[in-house]
Amino acid sequence: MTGPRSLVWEVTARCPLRCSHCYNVWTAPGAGMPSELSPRARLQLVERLLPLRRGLRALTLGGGEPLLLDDLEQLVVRIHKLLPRTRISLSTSGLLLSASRALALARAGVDVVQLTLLSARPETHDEMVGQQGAHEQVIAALAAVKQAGMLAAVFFVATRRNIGEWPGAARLALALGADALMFNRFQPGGRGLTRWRELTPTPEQLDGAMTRTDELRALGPVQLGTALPPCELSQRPGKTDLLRCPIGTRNAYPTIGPDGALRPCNHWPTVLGSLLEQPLARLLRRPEPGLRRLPPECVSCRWARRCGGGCPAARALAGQAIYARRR
Amino acid sequence: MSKDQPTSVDLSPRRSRALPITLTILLAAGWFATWETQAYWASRSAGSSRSYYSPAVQLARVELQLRAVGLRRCAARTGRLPRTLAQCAADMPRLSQLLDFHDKKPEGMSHFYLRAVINEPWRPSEDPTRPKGARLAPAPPPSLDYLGLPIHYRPGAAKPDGTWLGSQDLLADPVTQFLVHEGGVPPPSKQPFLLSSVFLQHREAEQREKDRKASNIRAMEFGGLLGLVLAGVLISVLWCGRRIRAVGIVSISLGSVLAFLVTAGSCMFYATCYAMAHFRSSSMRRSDRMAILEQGVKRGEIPKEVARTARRYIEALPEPKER
Repeated sequence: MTGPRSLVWEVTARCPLRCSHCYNVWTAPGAGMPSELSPRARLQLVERLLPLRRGLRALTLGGGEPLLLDDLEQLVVRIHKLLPRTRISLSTSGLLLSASRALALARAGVDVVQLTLLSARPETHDEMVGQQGAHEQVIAALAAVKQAGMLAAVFFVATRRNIGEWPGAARLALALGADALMFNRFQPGGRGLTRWRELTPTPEQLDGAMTRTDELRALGPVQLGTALPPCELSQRPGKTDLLRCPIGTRNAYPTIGPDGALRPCNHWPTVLGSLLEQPLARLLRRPEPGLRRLPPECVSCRWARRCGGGCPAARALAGQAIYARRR
Repeated sequence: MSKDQPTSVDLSPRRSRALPITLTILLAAGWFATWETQAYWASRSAGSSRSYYSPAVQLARVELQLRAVGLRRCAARTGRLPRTLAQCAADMPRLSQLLDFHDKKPEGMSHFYLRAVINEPWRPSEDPTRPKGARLAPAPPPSLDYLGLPIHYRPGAAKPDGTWLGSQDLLADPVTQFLVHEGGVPPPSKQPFLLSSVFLQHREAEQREKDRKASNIRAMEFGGLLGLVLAGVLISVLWCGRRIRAVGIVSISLGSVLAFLVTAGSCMFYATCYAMAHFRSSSMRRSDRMAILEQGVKRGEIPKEVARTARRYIEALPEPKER
C-alpha cells in the first residue's frame, strides 16, 4: 500500500486554552482525556513512521498544546533525522512560543508554524479562546516565528461570532508576515459540539466572507482549509475553492493521538488501533464505514460528486444535516 | 477486369471511415454510460444507508438515554418526575456516579441534557414495572428528534432480532454497563470497546455488507470499462486497415487520456487543512506589509492599539531577501 502524504500527530491532549470551537475529540461531551506517551515512547513511535519516509510530505505536530512538551525539540530533531524529506509543521496557539523557543524549534527542524488568529480585535479572540491576553501572545508568536526564519501559516476559524472580523484578522496576519492564510469554516466536533448551532456561521455570513476572501487574495496567499460545499453559498465557488474531504485518498491526514492511537483524521474519534502495536499501513487498511458516503440530502445534488458532501466527521458528530441550508 | 467493376476485397473509403467513427462514438457512449451508472449506484448506496455515528456521539447519546431511563424509573417509584438524578441517588447509587460525571461538565451542559430529558415524552415500552413477557407497545415513528437521537438507541426502537428496544436492553448494553460500573467514560484508547455494543455491531455488519456490494459494483464497472476498451482496440486491429487502425487506436488513447485528466481534475482539490507542504515563503516587502496594516486601520478592521504593536514587530522583521 502507498502511504499517506500527510500525518497529524497530536502529541499531547493538555492545553491551557478553552476554545469554544475546539474540535479535539477528547473535548467532546462524554469523551475522556487520553493518556500521554512518555518521551521514550514518542521516540519509538517516530521509528514506526520510517516506512513512510519516501512519500510523507508533511507531518503536523499538534495537540492540545504541543509546546507544553519539554522534549518537543528532541522529538523534532528525531523526526527530522529519520524523515528528512518531510516538512514538519507545528500547530500551536502561540501562547508559549517565545522568541528563544521559536529559534530552538527552527534549529531542531520545524519548517512551518501554524497559529490561530480569530480576530484582529483582542476582545473577540480572547473571549473565543477563554484566556485574557492570548491575542497579544499570538501576535508576538507570529513575529517570533518570522524572526526565527520559519514559515508561518495563520488559521482563522470562522464562527458566527467572529466571521465578520475575517478581513481584519487576515490583514493583520499578512502585515505581520504570514506566509499563508487559511479560512476554516467551523465544523461541529469536540467541545464545539455542545453549542454547534450557535457557532455555525449562517449562509449569508459565509457569502459575505467569501466575497471578502476574493478581495484578500489580491494581497497574499489565502486558501480555504475546510470543505465549504457549494450549497452553503449563493454563488458558485471558484475552481480551487471547491474542496472535498480527502479521507480515503493519499491526501488524507491520518491522525495519531496523544496515546499513539491512530484515527482516520483529526476530526474523527474512531480509533483504528495503536500505532505502537501495529504498523500504520495495516491500520489504514481497516474499513471506515460511512466516511466516504454521501449524506441523503446530497444524493440529488449536481455538485455531490465533486464536493463529496462536506466534512463527513462533522456531519456524523452533529448527528444531522449541517449543510444544504439554503435549500 | 474493367476499372468500373468493384474489387472483391472492397474497403471503400466511406465505409472504412465510418467504422472507426462509429466505434469511437459507441465506446464513448459506453464509457459515459458506465460512469453515469457508477454515479447512480454510488448515490443509491449513499441514499439507502443511514449515517454512521462515532463512538463519542454514541456514548453521549447512551448517557442521555441512561439519564432518561434513570429519571423515569425514579418517577415510576416516587410518582413524580425528579428534576435531577441526584434526587434518586439513594435508590440508585450506580446511576448517581454517572450523574457525578455529568455534573463535572462545563456549565450549561447538564442543563442542556436535563432539559432534553424532561421534555422527552414517557413511553409505555420503557416502563420498568411492566411484567416480563407483556406485549410491547408499537414502535415510535422512525424519526430523529430535536437532539438527533439515533432511533436504534431510543427505547421503543426495533432491535436486530425484531423485538423492540426497552430500558432493560439499554441497561444491559455493554457501553451502559461500563458507564454504570466504572462511573466514568472509557478513554479514547478503549474506544474500540464501544464498538462492541451489540447494536453498533449490527449496524457495522449492515455497513460492511453495503461496502462489499459497492466495491463489487465498482469492480464490475471497472471490468466492463476495461472490456470495452480492449474490445475497441481488438476490433480496430482486426477489422480495419492500417490507416484506420491507427485512427481507432489514437482515438481510444485520446479518450483514455481525457478520461484520466477529467478524473484527476475532479479529485485534485481536497481540503488542505494540514497539507501544508506546498506554500512558499512570503516575498512581501516591509513597506507593503505596513500598507496592508494601515489599510486595515483605515477601514476600521484593525484597532489602533493592535496596529501600534504590530508596527513595532513589522519594523523589527527582516526584509524577505535578508532572511
